[in-house]
Amino acid sequence: MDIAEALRTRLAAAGLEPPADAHDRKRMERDLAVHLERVAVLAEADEPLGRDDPPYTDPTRAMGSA
Amino acid sequence: MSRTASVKRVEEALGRIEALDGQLGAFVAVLADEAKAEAAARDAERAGGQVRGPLHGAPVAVKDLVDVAGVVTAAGSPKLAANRAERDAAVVERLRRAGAVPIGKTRTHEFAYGVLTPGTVNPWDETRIAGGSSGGSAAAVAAGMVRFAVGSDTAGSIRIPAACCGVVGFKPTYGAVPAVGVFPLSWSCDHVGPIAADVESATLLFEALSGLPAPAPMPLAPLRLGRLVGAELALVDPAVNEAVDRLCGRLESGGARVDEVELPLRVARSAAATIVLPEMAAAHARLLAETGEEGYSPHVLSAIRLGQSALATEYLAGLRYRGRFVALVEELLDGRDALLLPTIPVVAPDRDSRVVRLGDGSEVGVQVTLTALPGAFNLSGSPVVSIPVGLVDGLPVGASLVGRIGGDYRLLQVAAVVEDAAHFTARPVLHA
Repeated sequence: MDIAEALRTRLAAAGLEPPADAHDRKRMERDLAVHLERVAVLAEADEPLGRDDPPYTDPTRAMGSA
Repeated sequence: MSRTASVKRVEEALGRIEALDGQLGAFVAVLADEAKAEAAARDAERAGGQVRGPLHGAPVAVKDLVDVAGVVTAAGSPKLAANRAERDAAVVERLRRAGAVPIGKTRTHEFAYGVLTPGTVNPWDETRIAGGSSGGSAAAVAAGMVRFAVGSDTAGSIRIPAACCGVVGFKPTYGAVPAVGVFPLSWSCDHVGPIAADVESATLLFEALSGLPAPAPMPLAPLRLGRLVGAELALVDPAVNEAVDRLCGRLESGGARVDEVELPLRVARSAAATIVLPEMAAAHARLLAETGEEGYSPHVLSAIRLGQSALATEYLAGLRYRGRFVALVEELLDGRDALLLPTIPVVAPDRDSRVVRLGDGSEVGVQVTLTALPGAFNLSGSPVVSIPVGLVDGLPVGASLVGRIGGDYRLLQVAAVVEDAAHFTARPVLHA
């Protein structure tokens, strides 16, 4: 994946631009790479999330959910 | 707890802060006059027969993310250098009601998003980080400036500095301690809780912060602990693992049963991180719109921008995995008193390093490394207490105990037993 292009695309969709400073831009690319890796780890969880996996903003509400 | 006069206790704490904080940098503001006045008022109450509770007259340090009326809450950022709080945060109100005396504001990593807490050094070795983001609170306790401090924890920010500095850090069950008046990082992962000299002190502080009366201690049968093992813990330094092994050996010698269990910590940590970024972006939206990018570090600004551009489906995936992970953790706690794991994979890293070299030779960012294990339990909201259990190369090792949601006091009771078995009595050598 071209991480620089991925960053530009994401930021553009949010009406933003990559940092002008090359050092800051590289940092953001590294941070995006970590984020995308985490998204991928989550997507590859042993059992895919299904319709019985609702979102919880309060973890204590998730007690006995599964 | 101590019945020593409050004025004396406050003056002793102020003296130690005066002597040591120039080298440690734990405090960003010391409330000497206010604390002395409050201490005198507490002593007058005591002389009149009124004692509010076990924290009556005790000096407490408060992380500079938490509002104290009349005092600046800068949250570690120049953007908030003039942000004087109009009223106390809920936890500070509760502390005052319990008779405690806020003695100062402790340094935090910028907006609590980071593990370095620049400006604070580790009392055990000033070339090492104190950890973060509640680094000032942990350093203040480790240096004996105070026995009690308040921290906050979104991916380990109470437990990481507690482990780095050799003190007790307790992340209570999500919501057990109110976060009103605490600058948010991520509403659904933020926890507020104690950093203290020992489990007993952490328990007293938790009682004051939560407002939940401590139940009468229940007799404990021999402990049943599940030690987390497996590929998820491969990044743990062998010397840190050995310190936890020794703890398990001592516990088993005392009659505890320790078996091995596994949890998908990496998936849970990933889920928590996908939640934190968009919530952080939302929490900062107004400040960013009103004041612009100036004053944010590139590190924090990068996180905010990535949060602004994260996909809703990514955020929802994190929230949806939460139910799965809660169920897995609670299931493992059926028939066990707590789960046990190293708090962080390494001892406190060098201040100048932004990467950690792991046992397999790989280099990983300090923040990614230190949040890898504790961050999973910000997803589940489980109570977790980190206690010091040994030294590696003269630096403390922390072990974490994970309890059932809502089982905070029970977990602290278990932690007291483990603390006793660990028998960690070392203290940093400090010269005024």
